[in-house]
Amino acid sequence: MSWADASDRVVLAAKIGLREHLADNPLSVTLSTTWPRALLQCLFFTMLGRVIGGADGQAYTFVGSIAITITLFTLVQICDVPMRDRWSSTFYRIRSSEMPVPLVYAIRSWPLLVEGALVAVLCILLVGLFTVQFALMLQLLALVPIYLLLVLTSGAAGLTAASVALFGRAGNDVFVGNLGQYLIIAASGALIPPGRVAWLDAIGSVLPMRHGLLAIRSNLAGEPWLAHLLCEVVVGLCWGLAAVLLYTYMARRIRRNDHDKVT
Amino acid sequence: MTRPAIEVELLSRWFGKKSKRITALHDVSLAVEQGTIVALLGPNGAGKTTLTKILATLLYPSSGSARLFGHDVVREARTCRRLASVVFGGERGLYPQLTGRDNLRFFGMLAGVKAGEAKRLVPELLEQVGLAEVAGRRVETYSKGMKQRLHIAIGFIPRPRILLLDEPTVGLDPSEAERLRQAVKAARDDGVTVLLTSHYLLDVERLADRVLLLDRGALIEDRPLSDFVLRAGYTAEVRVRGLGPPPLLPVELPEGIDLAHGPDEVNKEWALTLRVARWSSDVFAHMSTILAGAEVIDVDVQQVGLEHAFAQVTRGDI
Amino acid sequence: MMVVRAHPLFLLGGVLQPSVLLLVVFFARGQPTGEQAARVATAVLLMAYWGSTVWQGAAILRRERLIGTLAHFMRGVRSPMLVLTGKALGASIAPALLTSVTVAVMMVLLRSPISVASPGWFVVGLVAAVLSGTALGTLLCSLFLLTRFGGQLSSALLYPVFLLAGLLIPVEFFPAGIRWLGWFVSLRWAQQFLVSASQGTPDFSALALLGLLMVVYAVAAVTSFRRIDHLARVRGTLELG
Ligand SMILES: Nc1ncnc2c1ncn2[C@@H]1O[C@H](COP(=O)(O)OP(=O)(O)OP(=O)(O)O)[C@@H](O)[C@H]1O
Ligand SMILES: [Mg+2]
Repeated sequence: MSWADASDRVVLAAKIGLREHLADNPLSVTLSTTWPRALLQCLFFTMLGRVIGGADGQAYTFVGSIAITITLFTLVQICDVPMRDRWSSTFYRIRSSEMPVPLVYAIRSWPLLVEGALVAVLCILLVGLFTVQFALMLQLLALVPIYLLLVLTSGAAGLTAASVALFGRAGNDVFVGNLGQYLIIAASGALIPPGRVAWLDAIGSVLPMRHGLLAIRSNLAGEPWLAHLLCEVVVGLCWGLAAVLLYTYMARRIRRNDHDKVT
Repeated sequence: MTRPAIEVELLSRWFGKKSKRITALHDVSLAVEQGTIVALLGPNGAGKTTLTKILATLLYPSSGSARLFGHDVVREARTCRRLASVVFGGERGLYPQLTGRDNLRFFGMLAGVKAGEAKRLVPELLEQVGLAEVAGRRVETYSKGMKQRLHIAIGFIPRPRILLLDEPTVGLDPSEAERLRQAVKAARDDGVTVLLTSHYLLDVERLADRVLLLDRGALIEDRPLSDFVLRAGYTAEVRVRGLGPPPLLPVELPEGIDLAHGPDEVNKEWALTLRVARWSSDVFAHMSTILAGAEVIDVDVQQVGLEHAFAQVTRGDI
Repeated sequence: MMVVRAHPLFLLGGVLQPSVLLLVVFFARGQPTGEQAARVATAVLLMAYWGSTVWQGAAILRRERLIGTLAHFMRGVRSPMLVLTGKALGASIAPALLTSVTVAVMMVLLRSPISVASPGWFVVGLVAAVLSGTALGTLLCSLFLLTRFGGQLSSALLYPVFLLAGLLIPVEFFPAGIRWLGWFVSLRWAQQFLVSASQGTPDFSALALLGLLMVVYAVAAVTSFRRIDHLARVRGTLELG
């Protein structure tokens, strides 16, 4: 396959990804429900920090709440991408295609990754304004690139979770995404500072967000942060690899048991 | 010496655990030469879709092997996918939220059609299946038949050398079904091999060169269409109606003519059905002897079709 | 009930969500005590319960769409409204019980067991909360049938309700201009009543408001459901084919 040919394919898959995303989430619905919901969730967790820890608590949870909000797109909504093939019984065409299954889904998810990034920026601005944390807001704006990395690493985990949704029982799709989100809420250090509960720390260390958030916090505190960032990259790559393995394995297993009824 | 387009050897497929095993295919062997249309018939649950899926590399066989132009469907799946494309009947299998054109382009891309080629092929195929006008509409707004036509276009777009069609005419209106039959014939004339599953025996009668009959997972018939029709045991049924007393039939009917029904009498009318093994001028002479003296008001001759053969063969075996 | 038991979502709303919220509240700071602990426990209980209602509604209908039974359901002999209410009630009671157990167990594990001074009234409060949740759940299901964006719509209702009801975050944290909105959220009155019952001084005006809102939700559910069958046929977009 030539480069030109490969890029044509990627472009077409990306276009299809955008069209199906817009069909399920027209701009009016996104702007009137999805984004406000994301912003309010961010506001909720940020203010929760104020209730339990005053101004310091609020600054702490603000940084983390933005990451939690990202997972709304990269962990929860991303499950819809492969699920569309289950709803319309089209997975057999995907698994017998020339393009690797995980690649098809990675490309088709791009609108969600972009949305996650946009909403993260909006959260920094609007929640920052509403809770009157102007200085922190500006500092976080400078750190947006790290949040972008978090979009990618959590997206990789989201695609892995989505494979469970695709191949598991009906209804799993709502479950796995939200499960992922709650794990992040509890264990990523977004709200509960690392070092308080050992087992949460253990879970968190293999989850996306954890190390990236540490990098952001270290940066804000003027401490070295590159090592944390590197850890985040590694964790993200591992999740990406897990996604590749799972989709490949599942496609093979379906060929053995005929679980996706095509007719 | 070229390999047969489809070769299947002692192919079996079962589902489920040992205790509750369902055998969908049992030791099926067959070979299909390139450029032929083979009809796969059989009652519901006979294993037709299972065989199609195995050939389409969507399902592993439990034992035995299947090859497309000599390439094993398990070990050389990639090559086989390029050689064959599959069309399943039904309303699913398309993205309802996308337009017909997008569906065709996307599935074409997945099947390996290059962008430049697609640019030419997509409008051409949409035109061919009569969807050009609605190509920009979402598939969820399509009728059953329109979806089916789109399925067919998707099956044709990679220019396969083997077409696996599982009930392709379901939901098509008569003229559209005829158009599809023409398209399948044209493909055959280009050297494409077609495995056609259909419950519409008309499709089979018009198209097939050969008929395979599956029953409960076993291949029980494999012969040319003309031979298969002979399996009914006769060529035509002649239904005769008359007034007054029915004709007195001889104890032994002349050779080549059998009595299927009758004579029945209702309201001073009688009716009987005779079966003719083979047409010849003698047949008419025999008929007039049999019917001599009776008042005939109506004669209806029905040529034997696939239905009779199908009924005969499956009844005989079940 | 079967639908509910078959759902892993049941665990999500009933176990995971309340546990995580409690962990966050307890470990992000220190131990809440006394009335504060009761506030946290009831807040988490009601939040999880509300979350379940929303998710279940989403999941039930998504599932129905997946297996293509929506048409049977709408055209069934029994009134779809009744079936829907049944589903919503099933989807309400089970998570409510599970959530209560989870919260109680977690409070013990977190060494802050709740003592309830007026258990009778506390149970009455819970039942009232479940009933109003059912009414609201039915309303939500109608939304799902009406628009294909029901999922987004109902999840958009999640956090405004958490915030306005002042469940974990006291309403005083909000600008005075928007606090009145909380009056229309039954969870607010549910929490007020439950906390007061746990302290032995049941607040009956809160209970009355809770009941009133429940009636309002129920009426809204019935009215909106009446429109659905009609609208679905007018638009023809509902996947009933
Ligand atoms: N995934 C599966 N699990 C269990 N049994 C299966 C599975 N797929 C097919 N079967 C069984 O295998 C047998 C053959 O099914 P198949 O779909 O191949 O029949 P068919 O000839 O295509 O029938 P129809 O004419 O109804 O389309 C049936 O008894 C069916 O129940
Ligand atoms: Mg079949």
